[in-house]
Formats: sequence, C-alpha cells, structure tokens
Amino acid sequence: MTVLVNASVNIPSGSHDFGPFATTTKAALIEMDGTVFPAGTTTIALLFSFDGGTTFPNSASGTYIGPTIPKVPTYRLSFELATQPDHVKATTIAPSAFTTQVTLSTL
Amino acid sequence: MPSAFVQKVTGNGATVVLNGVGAGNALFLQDSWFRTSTTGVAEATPTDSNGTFHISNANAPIFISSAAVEAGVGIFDQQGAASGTHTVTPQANSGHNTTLCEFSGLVTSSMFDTGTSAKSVVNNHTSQATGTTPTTAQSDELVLICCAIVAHTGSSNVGWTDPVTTFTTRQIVINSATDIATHHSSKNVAAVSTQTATELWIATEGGIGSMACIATFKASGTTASAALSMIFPSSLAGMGGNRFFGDRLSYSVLSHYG
Repeated sequence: MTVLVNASVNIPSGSHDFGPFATTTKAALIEMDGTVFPAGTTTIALLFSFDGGTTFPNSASGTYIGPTIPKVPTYRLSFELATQPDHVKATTIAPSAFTTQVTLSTL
Repeated sequence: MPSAFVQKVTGNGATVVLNGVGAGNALFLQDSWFRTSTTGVAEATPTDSNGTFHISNANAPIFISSAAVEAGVGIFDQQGAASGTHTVTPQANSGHNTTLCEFSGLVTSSMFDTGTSAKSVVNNHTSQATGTTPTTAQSDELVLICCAIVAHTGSSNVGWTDPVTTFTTRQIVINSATDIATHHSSKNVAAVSTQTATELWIATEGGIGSMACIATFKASGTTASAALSMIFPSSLAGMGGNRFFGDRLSYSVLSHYG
C-alpha cells in the first residue's frame, strides 16, 4: 500500500481533485471522516488514466449523505481494474465546503 | 472458459457507481449489512439506474440480542448488463459494506445456478461456513462468497484468515467494533461439484453473530454437467481461479456504532 494523501483537507463546494498521482497498481482506496460531511449529497470518485494523466477514462464513484452521523464513521470508496493504469486521482463534488481527514492510497 | 474480472467498486455510502461497463457482461453485488431497528427481514434487492438485479442469495438476518442489532449478507446478480454507467443503490439499513464487481465470460440468460447461506450467534465462535450448494449445473462457474461479523463490543481487527482458501478477496473490512467486519471473495471453478467455503477469524466475544452466503453462476462456453460427465471424469477437471488483487482495508477504531 502506498499512501498518497493523509491530511486534514479543506474541501471546497463543487469539484475538487486530489492528484493525479503516478501509480502502477490497479486499485485505489479513499477514506474520509464521515461525521463531518455537509448536508446533502457528496460524491467521491476514483479515476484511472492510461496516458500519463491526460485523460481518465475509467472511474467509479459513490454518494455519501450528510449531515447525519453515520453508524459507521469512516466513509470509504475503492476502485480496482483488471488492467494496469499509470495515474490515479480522486475527485469530490460537495454541496458545500467542509474540512475532513482524508487518506488516499493505492493498494 | 472461466469468467474474467473486469473492474470493481467498493463503498459504504448511499450508492456505488461503475462507469464503462461492457455490454453483455455480468454485475454482482455483495453486501454485508446491519440494522439497529430490527425487522427480521432479509436485505431488499438493490436498484440500478441501468438494469435490474436478481437475488442470488439473501436470507433472514441474525439477531445479536446483547447489541440489539441484526445483521446479514446478500449476493445479487445482473446478467447481460447494459453498457455504460450503473448507479446501484443497496438497501441503506444502518450501515453496509458493498462490493460491486463486473465480470466477463458469463452466460447472458439463466446465469444464476445455486446458492445458500448459514449463520450463527453462538458465543465466541470463530468460523462460519457458507453452507453447501447443490451440485452445480456445469463445470465452469464463478463462485461468490460473502461474510459479515457483528459484535456487541467488537474488535478493531477480527483477524480474518485472508484469503479464504482458493478464493480471491474482493473486499475485506477487519473492524467489528465500529464497522461490520466484512469479507467478500470470488473464484472460478472448472468441475461439476457442490460448493462451500468456511470463513475463519480469531477474535472471540460473547455477543457475536456471523452470517455467510455463497452463490454460483454459469460461465459461457462450457458443457452442461450431464454431457460433461460422459466426456470427462470429474477427477480430471482442474480447478481454475482468478488471481487479482483484492482490497486490503484497515483503519482505526473511532467509536462504537451502537
């Protein structure tokens, strides 16, 4: 496992990218403290590139609802392909700004 | 011909979304979940913005009386998937760990073959079998298994035996203290047989419950069991297996989920 981001991050309203980061692994994982998510639906996405980070044709995502405190406090998303990418990035699309602990790793 | 892993997403939010799904491929949703408002009812079929899931195996949950929660597992399948984006919404419950996988190389009609489940709330148990399926209809099949452990106090690391022998891990969550300890796996088989698996872990506790299930799905380009048995003795049919990386999730204890 390689940790790419492990920090408290100010996530703005709208779209925000983490990366792109070079990688040779086929899987990535992002974890965030779900207890501080804003009201509404926040989308978290993981994207893989095969052309040096220019385009990201393969992606997966999940939606996460705030501000209800989740019974399981850590929100997670992982994405894995059968083929090896060369870059990975994560994207959040938030209804309003918030600050949360973020860990982004390749597996 | 064995099936082949294409891609997967795992998550514990309201939805999981896979993009770029290939036309005619198969989608599988494995889910480990718990409810603090107990109903005794099995998990509902997930919805998909671009298709319809079928229940492979989803039976009534376990009830952990000391924690006043119920928990369960479910496997759902979608044969001959439409191309493009699939936004899948599992039943929310109080929490769930979801694995959504895309595989190629499966038949596009009558794909589901067999399935079963088993569960236990015996104090301090450290294993859970999936139950044993009926004999598969054909030689080449994809086998999925799914296990959940929920406990009153729980452990930050239940100590799963990982991977389950002959399986590839698709999602592992080791925490039963602030999460649902979760183990989702798959493998290809290449012989007509019954199928079963046993999940093992280390953590012991009085107020513990576990449930596991198994389901099998027909790969394409294979011979039905009756015809196959006339051509090849089952002892000559080798065991196949995908060998792709699974998740290795671990995280710290933050608080109890109760």
